Amino acid sequence: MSTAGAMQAAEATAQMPVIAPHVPAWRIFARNGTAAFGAIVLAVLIPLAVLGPFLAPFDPSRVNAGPPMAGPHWPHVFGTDDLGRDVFSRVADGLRVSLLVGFGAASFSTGLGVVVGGVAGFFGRFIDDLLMRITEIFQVIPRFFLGVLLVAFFGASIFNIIFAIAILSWPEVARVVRSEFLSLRARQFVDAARVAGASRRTLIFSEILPNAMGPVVVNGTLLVGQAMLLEAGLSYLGLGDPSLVSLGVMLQEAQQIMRTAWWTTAFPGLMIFLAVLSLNLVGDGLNDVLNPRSRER
Amino acid sequence: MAEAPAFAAAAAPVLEVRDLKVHFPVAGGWFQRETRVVHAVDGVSLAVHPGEVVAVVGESGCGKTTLARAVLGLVDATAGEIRVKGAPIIGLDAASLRAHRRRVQMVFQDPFDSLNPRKTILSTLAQPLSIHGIVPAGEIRREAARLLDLVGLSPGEAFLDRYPHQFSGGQRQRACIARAIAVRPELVVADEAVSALDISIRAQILTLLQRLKAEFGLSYLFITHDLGVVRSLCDRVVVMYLGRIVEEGPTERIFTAPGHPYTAALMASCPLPDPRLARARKTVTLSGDLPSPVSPPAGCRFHTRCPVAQAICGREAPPAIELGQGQRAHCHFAADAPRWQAGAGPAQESKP
Repeated sequence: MSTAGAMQAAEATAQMPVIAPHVPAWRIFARNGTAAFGAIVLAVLIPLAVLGPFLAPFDPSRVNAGPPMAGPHWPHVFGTDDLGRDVFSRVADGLRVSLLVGFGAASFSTGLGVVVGGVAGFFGRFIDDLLMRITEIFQVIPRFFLGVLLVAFFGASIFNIIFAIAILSWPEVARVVRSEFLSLRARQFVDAARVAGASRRTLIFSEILPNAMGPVVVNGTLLVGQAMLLEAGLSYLGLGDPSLVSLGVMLQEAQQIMRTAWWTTAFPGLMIFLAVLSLNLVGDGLNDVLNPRSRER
Repeated sequence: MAEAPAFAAAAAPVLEVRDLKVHFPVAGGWFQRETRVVHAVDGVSLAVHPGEVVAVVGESGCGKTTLARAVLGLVDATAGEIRVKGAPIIGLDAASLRAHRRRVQMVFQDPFDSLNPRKTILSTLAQPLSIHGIVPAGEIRREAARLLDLVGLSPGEAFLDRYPHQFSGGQRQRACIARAIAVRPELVVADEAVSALDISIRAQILTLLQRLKAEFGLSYLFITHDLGVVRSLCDRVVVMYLGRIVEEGPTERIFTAPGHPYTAALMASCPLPDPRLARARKTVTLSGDLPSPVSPPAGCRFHTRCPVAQAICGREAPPAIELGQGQRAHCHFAADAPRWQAGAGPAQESKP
C-alpha cells in the first residue's frame, strides 16, 4: 500500500461514525432516587392543589360541615377545625394558594434576576458595577422584615404578597446569572459564534442564556419552596391575604386550638413540609439533568 | 519546504500585520495610583501569503494567542494595523467586521469547549451558513452534511442531529474545522488546534488540515508550541518572545540554523526520538522564568535569560538582522550565530 493510501486508510478507520448514545433527560433524573421520590410527591400534591375544588369532599369555607374539633375520621379524614370546617378540603385549597404564591414569586423573581444578572454579566464594566451595587442593597436588607413591611404598607392581597416575595428573592438569581454569564462569555464556543459573525443578540439568547439556564432552573425550584415558607411565615403573623386560605393562614388560625386539636396544625404543616422538601429534591435532580457534566465523560 | 514558496513574494498577502500592539490595563487596587499595562503583543509585524502555512511559536504567555484573537477581531488592538487582503480590519463597524469574518476563520484550542453543548452539530454549522448567506435556507442541512463529509465525519447526515457530548475529541475538532471552512475563508487561524488531542488523533487532524489546504487553497496561521507540528505542516515560522517577534524564517532554516539564542533554546527543548541524537545534541537550558509582560526588560527582552548576552543587550533593542532566505533574527549577535552555537559564546567575558 502506498503511503498516501495508508494515510487515507488511517483517516478512514477513525471516521467510522462512532457516536455515543444520547441519554434521555428522564433517565439521568431517575438515577437520583431522592429526586424521583420528590417528583412523585409533587405529582400527587400538584393535582391535589389544582383539582382541589373538585376533589375536596366539602366546601373549604363551609362551617359545620361536620362536628367541630373532631379528630380524623371518615368522611373527615384530616378531622375538622373549631368551626366544624373540613381540614382536608381546606388543606387542598390552601395548597393551591401556597403553590400559586410559590410559583408566582419564583417566576417573577427569576425573570427579574435573569435580566439584571444577564445584562450585568454580559456588558460588564460600568453597567455591571451599577447593577451589582443595586443588587447588594437589596441583599443586605433582612428579607422577612422587608416582606412584613411591604405587605403591611401595600395591603395583604395575594398579588402584593407575591410581589413582595419576588422583590426579596431576585438578587440571588441575579448573582447566579451574572456569574454564569461572566464565565460563559469567555468560553470558546461563544468566541466561535462571534467569529461566525453572530450578533450580540444571538450571542446572548442562543449561545449564553441556554447554557446559563441550568442553575437558574434549579435555583427557581428552590425559590418556589422558599417563597412558600415566606408566605406561610407572613400569614402566620396575620399578614396573609384575608380573602384566601393558604396553608400559612390555616396554621395561624389553628394556633389557639393546637394543643387540643393537633390535626388542625399537623396536616397543613405536613403539606408545607412535603411540598418544600420535594421541590428541593426535584431541584437537586434537575441539577443533574441540566449540568452538561453529567452527560460528558 | 526548504525555501519559502516562490510565488509568496509575488502575490499580495492574505494577512498583513504591521506593528501590532495589544495592551491590557491591569486593574490596580483602590489605592494604586498608576494603572499598569500588560504588553501582551508589543509591536508585531508579519504576513501570510496565499497558500502559505505560517507558524507562530513561543512559550505560554508570549502573546501568540492574543495575536490570533486580534487577527479575528476578538480583542481590540491598541495600535498598529491588521489588513486582510489589503483591507484594514481595525476600527470597523459591526457590518464590515462581519464581512471580514467571512474571510478569516478560526479553529480553537479545546474541542471540548468550542462547541455549544446545547446545540446540535447542525445548528452549530447552520449559524455561519445562514449569517453569511452561503447557501439558501432550504439547503443548509444538505450543505452541513456535505461539510461534515469533507472533514471526514461521514456519513455527515448521521452526525447532524447529535450533540457535542456524543462525540470524541477528534470528532469534535473535525466539526470545528467544518464550521471554520463553512464560509469559504481564505485564512484559517488555528490556535493550538491539535494540542488538546491524542497523539494519534493529532496526526489525523493535521492530515485533514493539509488536505483541506490543498483542496480549498487555504492559508493557515498556526499558533502552537508543538515544534513537531510546525515541522510537519508549516512553511514559515515566526518565533515570539514576550510580545515580540525574535526570529522568523523558513521552517527548515529555523530548525537547522536558528539565528537567535531563544530560537536555539526552543529547538533544543524539542525532544528527539533517537536517544543517541539526543545525547549528541548540545543542550541550551534557559535559566529563570519569563519576565512579567507588565514591565518587560529594557533593550532586548531576552537579555535577562540569554546565554550570550552582552552589555549592549540591556541597553538597545536589537534590529532585525537579515540572515538570507527570508530569515530575520532580532539579535545583536545574529550574524555570529554559528560561533555561539558552537559553544564559543561571545558572552563569557562579560557574564557576571
